[in-house]
Amino acid sequence: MRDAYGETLAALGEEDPRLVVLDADLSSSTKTSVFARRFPERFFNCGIAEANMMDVAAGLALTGRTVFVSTFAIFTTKGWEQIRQVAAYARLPVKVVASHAGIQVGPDGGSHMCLEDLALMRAIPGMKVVCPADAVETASAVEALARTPGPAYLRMARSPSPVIFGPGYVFHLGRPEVLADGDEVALLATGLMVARALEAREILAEAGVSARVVNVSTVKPIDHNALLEAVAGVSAVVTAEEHSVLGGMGSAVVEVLAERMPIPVVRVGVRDRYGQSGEPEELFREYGLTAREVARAALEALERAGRKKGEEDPPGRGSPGD
Amino acid sequence: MGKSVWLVGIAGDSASGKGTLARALLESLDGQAAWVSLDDYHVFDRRERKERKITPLRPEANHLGLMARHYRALASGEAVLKPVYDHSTGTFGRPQLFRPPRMVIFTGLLPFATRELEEALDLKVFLDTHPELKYAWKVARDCRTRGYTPEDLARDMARREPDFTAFVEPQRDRADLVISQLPAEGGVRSRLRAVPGIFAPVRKGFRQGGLALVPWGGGVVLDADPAVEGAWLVKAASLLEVDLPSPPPGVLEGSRAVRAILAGLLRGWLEEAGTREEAV
Amino acid sequence: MAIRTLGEREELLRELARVAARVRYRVVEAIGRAGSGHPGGSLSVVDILVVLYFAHMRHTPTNPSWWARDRLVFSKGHGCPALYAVLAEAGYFDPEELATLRRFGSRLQGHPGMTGLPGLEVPAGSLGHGLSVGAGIALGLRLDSIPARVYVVLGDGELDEGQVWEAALFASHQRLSNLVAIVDANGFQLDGPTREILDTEPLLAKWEAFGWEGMEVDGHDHAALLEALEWAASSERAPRVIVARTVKGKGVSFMEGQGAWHGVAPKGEELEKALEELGRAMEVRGEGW
Repeated sequence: MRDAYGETLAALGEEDPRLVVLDADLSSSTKTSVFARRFPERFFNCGIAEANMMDVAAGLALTGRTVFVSTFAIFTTKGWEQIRQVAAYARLPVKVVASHAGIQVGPDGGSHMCLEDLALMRAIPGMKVVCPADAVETASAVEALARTPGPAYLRMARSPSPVIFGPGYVFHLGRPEVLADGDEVALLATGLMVARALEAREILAEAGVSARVVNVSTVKPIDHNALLEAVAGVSAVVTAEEHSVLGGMGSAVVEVLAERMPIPVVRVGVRDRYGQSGEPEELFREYGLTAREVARAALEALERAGRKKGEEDPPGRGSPGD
Repeated sequence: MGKSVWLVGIAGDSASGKGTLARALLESLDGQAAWVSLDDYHVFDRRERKERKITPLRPEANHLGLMARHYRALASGEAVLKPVYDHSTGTFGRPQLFRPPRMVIFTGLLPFATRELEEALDLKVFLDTHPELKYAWKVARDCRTRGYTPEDLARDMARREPDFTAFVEPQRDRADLVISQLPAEGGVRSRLRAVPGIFAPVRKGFRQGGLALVPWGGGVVLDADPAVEGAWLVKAASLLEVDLPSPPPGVLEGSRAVRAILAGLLRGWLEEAGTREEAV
Repeated sequence: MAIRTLGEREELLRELARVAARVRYRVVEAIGRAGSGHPGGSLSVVDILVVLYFAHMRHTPTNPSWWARDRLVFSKGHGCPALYAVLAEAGYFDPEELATLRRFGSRLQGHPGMTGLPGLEVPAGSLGHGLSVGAGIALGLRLDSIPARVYVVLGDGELDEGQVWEAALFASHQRLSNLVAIVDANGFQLDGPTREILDTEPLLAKWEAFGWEGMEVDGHDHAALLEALEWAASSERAPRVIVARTVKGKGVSFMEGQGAWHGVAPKGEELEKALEELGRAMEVRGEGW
């Protein structure tokens, strides 16, 4: 994912001689270093000073250029107020591309595991928020954002991600896309959880449940009609994200569904907790973000859908944590 | 408080002789007047006009609203922060604080293109110069001082033609004075046309450069100095129309005569205002 | 040319004094009419802005987005009535519009927002952003080889914000010699004197330690400001800072040096008295010279 970003950025730099890139002393990790080597005069390492970096980006954008800004997801939040007050308020083409989001950061531990970024960025008026599923989609989304006016946030994982899309895939901002069909339950996933949702679909198939997988790579803005179409005909919905269940993709989807098409939903995500050190797979298990958990959530959602008419939840059960 | 500053607008195409006229007027008004080129109110600099393919003749290429605000402020004697357009570089300079003397002469493409502008001016002059003369004068000036080639200019003039007709020329019908300049053997033939009453404030006759302007029967006449050989056509009517053929050698040249008439008119205004102030 | 501009310094200074007097009147009138706002820090920064716009910066009100203009980043957003009044006075929009300050639908927001107000470069209000934004603009101008400069106006209370110092470090590291910071050092912040709340003195030494070249001037002395700006604009190596020592509430006797007038609008008799004083100052400047 990060390599795709670095390469795409360099290609965009070739195309647009005014494009500039900023980083906060993490260029070898975020892969902006690829761009930096190719266009040293258009790359600025701002040091470990994210607040300043975000506003420098806004200033550069005010001189009529598209600006890509990268650091780890958790550190973009140090510049959140800057993005909110200048880049976004003035609707400037500042594209924040954050790497190392979520719990698969692994050994670095809780301080480095950003599980709030989608919620924070989504709350800023006019901000576009994108969380691609693999390297192919990352490349296409970076290109699309470079051409879209205004500010944007793109979230990348640290770990290499399984490739889902073929080379011809084109990212469409705002449009949830059905990746695999099914008619009982829809698994809406974003980022690395898309691959896991596809796995969960297999697990469910073995259990005789037909699941649809929808890639919600744009967390904001969501095309409401496209979302309703993507979940049309199923009895229940699961959302899955490597992010807090508070305010992320799941929240965004539920907000739309609650208003337009109430349907039982179970959200898979981190339930109001910090991360911790560990190997990614250990952590995915600990925080309930495995394919098996997604499949279990699907069964739970279907069960609720089946009990919808007049039945009540058995006492003592409910979603923990939020 | 009464009139504190007189405002004169001179409209005309590029190289129609606005600057020459303004300079001549300033000279004969003894430091009581200042000249402002309305090119300073261009919206775009040369590079931007080229990028946008827009001529400076179009209203949207000029900040007419700011011009009107400045006319009004200057008319009441207030200083304004005047934008500055630098022809040598084709770009803007540091704007300058400008406090008006007793009279300000504005020259430009659109000095009274809108009603708002028109209403703030005390005198509106239109320079109607024949295209042949404009081209010759433009080549003489712009190739030397503004870095253009004759080919640039010919192309430029052709491109400007429709905008000239649409935006600049209509000011002729709103002018108090129209000065026509036509090519003639051995020089320039000038013709002055004034709307009724424009010379009325002139009570006393005055003499300047071999010409006299005297009140006559409710209007004014242009009178040749007896010392000058060959009197020009002098006609007094409700409409003043003076034909000034290119004179024989030794005699005042037509366009200079027109300048003298105009200077006489403006001096008359200032003198009269001066007497009024003294009386108060 | 024949234009009678105020080239002579004496004459220019007389006119700047007239403009500043008019701007002060408009500032207090607008805040009074709005019923809220920050008169103290608006009045302290008036002379800085008047000298910048009327005698120093290269800009044109006919084309607020002219590519080669000098840029002003007004970081102490709460002082914006002064900026609005100066922009109006300079011809960017009709001064009549000042009457809409802080009203619903107005382009003159309580703190500068992106409302399409001509001449306003950057939103402001949350302190600490301006120097970073200014550094970004300066960097962009340098990349484009545009010989324009960026002027950032900060408050001294604002220097409490850590981001200002991140930006100061960045600007000197990048050798942004086309960047000028001007600190309106009026000595007060909302809760009291800056020395008591969070002391940022000695100011000049701090900036110099961050790699800036600096000087200190009387922020109400137009001649001194003009000279300081000319000095600042001649830099070839490092960003430069002008620490302008000012008086909060300058121009209204009962507001001068009074921290209490940081964020309170004058009302009723106070407003009348303030306008009367400022009106008198305008007449004196207008005729007494």
